[in-house]
Amino acid sequence: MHLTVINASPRLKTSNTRQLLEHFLKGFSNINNNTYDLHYYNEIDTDRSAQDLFDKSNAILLAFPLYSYGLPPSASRFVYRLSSLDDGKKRGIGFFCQYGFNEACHARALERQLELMCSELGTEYLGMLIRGGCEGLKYRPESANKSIYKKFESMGMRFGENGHFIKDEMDRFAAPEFSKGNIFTSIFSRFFILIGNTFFWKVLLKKNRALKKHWNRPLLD
Amino acid sequence: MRVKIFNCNSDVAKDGIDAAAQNLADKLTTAGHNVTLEIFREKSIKDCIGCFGCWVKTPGECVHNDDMKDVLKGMLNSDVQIIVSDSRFGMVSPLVTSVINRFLPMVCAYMFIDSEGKTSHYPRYDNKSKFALLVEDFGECTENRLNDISYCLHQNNKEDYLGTYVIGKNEEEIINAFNSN
Repeated sequence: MHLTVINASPRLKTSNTRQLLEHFLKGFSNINNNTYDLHYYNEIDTDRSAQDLFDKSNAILLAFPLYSYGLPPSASRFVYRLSSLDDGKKRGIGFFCQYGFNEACHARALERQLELMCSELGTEYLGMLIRGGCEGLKYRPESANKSIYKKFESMGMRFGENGHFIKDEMDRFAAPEFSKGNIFTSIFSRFFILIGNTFFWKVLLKKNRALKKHWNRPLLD
Repeated sequence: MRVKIFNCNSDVAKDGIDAAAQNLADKLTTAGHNVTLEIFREKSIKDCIGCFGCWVKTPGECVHNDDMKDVLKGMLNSDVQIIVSDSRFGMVSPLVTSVINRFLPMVCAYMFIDSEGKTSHYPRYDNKSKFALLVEDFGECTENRLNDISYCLHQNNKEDYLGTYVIGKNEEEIINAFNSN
């Protein structure tokens, strides 16, 4: 299988999307002599280049961070530029979505939209990998990231074996759906928020000497 | 009420969408509202680059110095914002996603878990303005699809969301939504 991968993260090569994709694609390439070519969204900046890429690909993986519960404009523009083709060639599009919030529920509305988009575009929907809790990978010690990298590699292998994502596996990978329901999820999620607020946001605010300005309301000045 | 209509039609060829936005502005003005209609494709609005500068470097201020600053100020001085969008494959235009991403300075970095078990960010400002979305007819405009297309606008403030309306189908109902709120 040959996969055309588009990294639509606005952060490009410094993105969490790139870091996670690297491990996913390592797993993908380890199976069945799979190959891929990787493009950054800023290389596909015209209607023609997006359509050309779509035209020549059998399988596309559009990777992006979830921004405001939807696609970042870079990914949205790519999708908007596509038109269906009547050349009889079988095509599929899969989606790779990561973000900071821990719960999978934030990406579900977009997941349904993208599935319907594939249907209207006349392509096969290859599924959507969703994973929260991925912000700030570069600030974490490598040992803390090992487990998540391993999971992405394993998901890449599964995608490489099947040629698409399997819904049940994806749901387990994306869990928790909400930060409530059972006591373990509830406690872990609150712990995650505490760590995020204290050791991520607060540390960055302090580093930038902006801690006292955190609640500023400059638009009222 | 002070109403801002954000015409985010990204396709100049779809002049029916511009006409719908203008028509809505006229009707709301006639109904006695103070309406401002802005055409966003004529504005300079850069994409969010995910730098989090508006949270951790200059809280509340974006690194981009473009027209979005005035848009956000205008939002704080209005009671209702209506976003108007073209649509493709049942999705809003990239211009809408670009504008909504740039709302980031309106919330703070710190997070909490809401009553539904969803992580959220604390709002930076106290204003409780209302939102609505008026979108181009994309065919199968079912209730579920309209809910999904507007998820980013109502997931944090369901009580302040006036609904999603379809051009040529039920746009008149926006006026009714105003009257019942």
